[in-house]
Amino acid sequence: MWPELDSVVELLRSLWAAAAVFWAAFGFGRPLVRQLRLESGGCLAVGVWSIATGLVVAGWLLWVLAALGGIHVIVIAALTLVGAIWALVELACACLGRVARARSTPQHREGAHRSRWLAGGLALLSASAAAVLLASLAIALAPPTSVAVLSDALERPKNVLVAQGAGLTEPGGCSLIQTWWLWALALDGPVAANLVHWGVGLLLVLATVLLARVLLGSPAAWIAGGLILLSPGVQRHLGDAGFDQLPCALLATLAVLGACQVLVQFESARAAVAAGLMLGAAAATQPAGAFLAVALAVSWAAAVGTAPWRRRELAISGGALLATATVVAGPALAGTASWPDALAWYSLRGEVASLGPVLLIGLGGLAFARRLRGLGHVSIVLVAYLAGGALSRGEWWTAAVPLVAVVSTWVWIETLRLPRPQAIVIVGVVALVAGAGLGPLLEKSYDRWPVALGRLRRDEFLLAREPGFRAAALVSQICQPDDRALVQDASGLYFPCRTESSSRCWRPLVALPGGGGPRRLIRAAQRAGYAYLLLAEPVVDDSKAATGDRSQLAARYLEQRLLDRSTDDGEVVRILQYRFADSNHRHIRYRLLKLRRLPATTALSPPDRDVHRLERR
Amino acid sequence: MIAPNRDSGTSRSDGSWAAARRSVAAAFFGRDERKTDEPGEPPPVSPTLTWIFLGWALGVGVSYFAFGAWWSMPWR
Repeated sequence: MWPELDSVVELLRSLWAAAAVFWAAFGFGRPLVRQLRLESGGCLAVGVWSIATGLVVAGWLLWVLAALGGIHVIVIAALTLVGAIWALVELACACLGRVARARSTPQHREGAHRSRWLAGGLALLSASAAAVLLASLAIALAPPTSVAVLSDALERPKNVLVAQGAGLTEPGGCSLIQTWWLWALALDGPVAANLVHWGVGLLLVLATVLLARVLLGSPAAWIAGGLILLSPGVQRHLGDAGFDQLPCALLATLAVLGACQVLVQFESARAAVAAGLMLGAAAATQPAGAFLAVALAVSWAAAVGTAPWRRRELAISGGALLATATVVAGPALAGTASWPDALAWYSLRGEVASLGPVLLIGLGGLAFARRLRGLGHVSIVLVAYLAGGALSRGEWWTAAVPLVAVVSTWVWIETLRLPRPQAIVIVGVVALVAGAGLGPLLEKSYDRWPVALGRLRRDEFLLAREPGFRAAALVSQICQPDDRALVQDASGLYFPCRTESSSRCWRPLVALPGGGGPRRLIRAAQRAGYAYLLLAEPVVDDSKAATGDRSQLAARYLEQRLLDRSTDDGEVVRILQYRFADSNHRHIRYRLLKLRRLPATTALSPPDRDVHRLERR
Repeated sequence: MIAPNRDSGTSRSDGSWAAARRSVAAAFFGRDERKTDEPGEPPPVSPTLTWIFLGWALGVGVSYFAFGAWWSMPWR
């Protein structure tokens, strides 16, 4: 079966949009990287540092644009064009400079010394890494259907984009990293955001290679990059856009890399400024960034204690790091941070499972591994980060994965010292668990391949997989630009208007004093500006299992009491009704309601004032 | 067999900066034992540590299959 032309065009457009994001980011970041003199690692270092720095800069530009109300597709496209043109200029200058250097100096081939052991390990890891990257790329090329992505992670940037920047700094707004998804959504759509997220995962791999190079040298560093992809948590996040974990891990890895360049390679404070830039961007997004700051401070203090003659130099570079991080993180921390909610003891079980057995086995080998210069810094940062991160609610572990991968790589190099029979058993166990770990990802990508190859249209895929897409497609044909929708299902992303699909907006409707009657609930939704209401109700009587939270109970209450009485009484009109069988073969009835908009001069009744006050809160 | 380390205290320059670098490398986890053991083979790991690491690897692997991977296999 040949791919359909429309599907191929959609794929190419998404790929082009994602490439434009990274290309423009390179253009934004390259001048800054040149000023910070981060070019010692060659082309790989220049590319990774430039794109990551450019993403941070572009994120802040979009943030400022949103604050000024200038978030329009045209403006974002123009911004992308400027970055892309500048990247072309940078590339042309780099090519001309390389030609000149090639004529004047002989080239040295780095990494000519490759052992058979490393070559074999690289071959095995390359095969596994290629499988992970291909499978996750197939997932990324299909429209997202994950509940968390649709209802929160990508819905927020979409709402900010639809509202032309309004609500960015509110609790339901965007973080710095989510402006990257907003960028991709403006240029194309959810699939482009998926691809940008996948590219950020690839950048994380390359940043880990750069970090490992500082300690281990070039050939072995690629092992660390491959080990990253064997982490089940990284595999789970790689294909689904919108989560902050992988981007936060990228920023944290580059922050540690900049710190290691100061502490281990004795580079100037400019590397500390780069580390501060990345650390600030990470702290602006997740509490994990703050724990990383504490961990770096501990490592810095250890360096000062062991090398007193470097005290002045380390104080200057540490101050530069701290000042830069504070400047970068400050505005975002004032807007969207939720640290008090994040501070709580959290179970380590899920994090250990997400880290994966391969990295865990490697960590156990530290008992026999010899000392390696610089490994102490990474270990101190890792231990301090794990100790602090255990207090954080959420998936803080991701930023620790690159550090664990670097440490594990040194352990695998050290396994050469083990007796051959024991080494064979250990390597066999690692190969088995690594191979088994690929199973869930390959299974998840299985039904995405037709979409990724263009054999299945995206709307057909979504109609079969995403229950709310049918209602979203209808709303996209009839909605007005300023309409808002209240969606009980997790498909708010595909609605073309502003949507609320999390339980946050339903809570005020449930918390009415003395309970809320149907008419009052409808009026509250109307007064809040919602023009559409999508309700989901399990058809069979397993409502307790299907509707576990108060929001869904409120929706069922509203739907049953109101719609059965009258569906066209001038306030609410049912415009669509259908059934959908979910993955557990449970039938759910979906009803899309059109709410009549109330005139602005309508006086609020006392209960409505309660609703209004609660919603404002 | 062993990855190169660019700053492991064998700089050819004799200035004070190079001496400082060597001192720091020796003081802070920097006594790069790979260099001290060259040019011979690296020392073998003690049998106790070898068996501990083997047990750790087998334990993690078996636990992973028992409590993690098996339950997420496609045929389950």
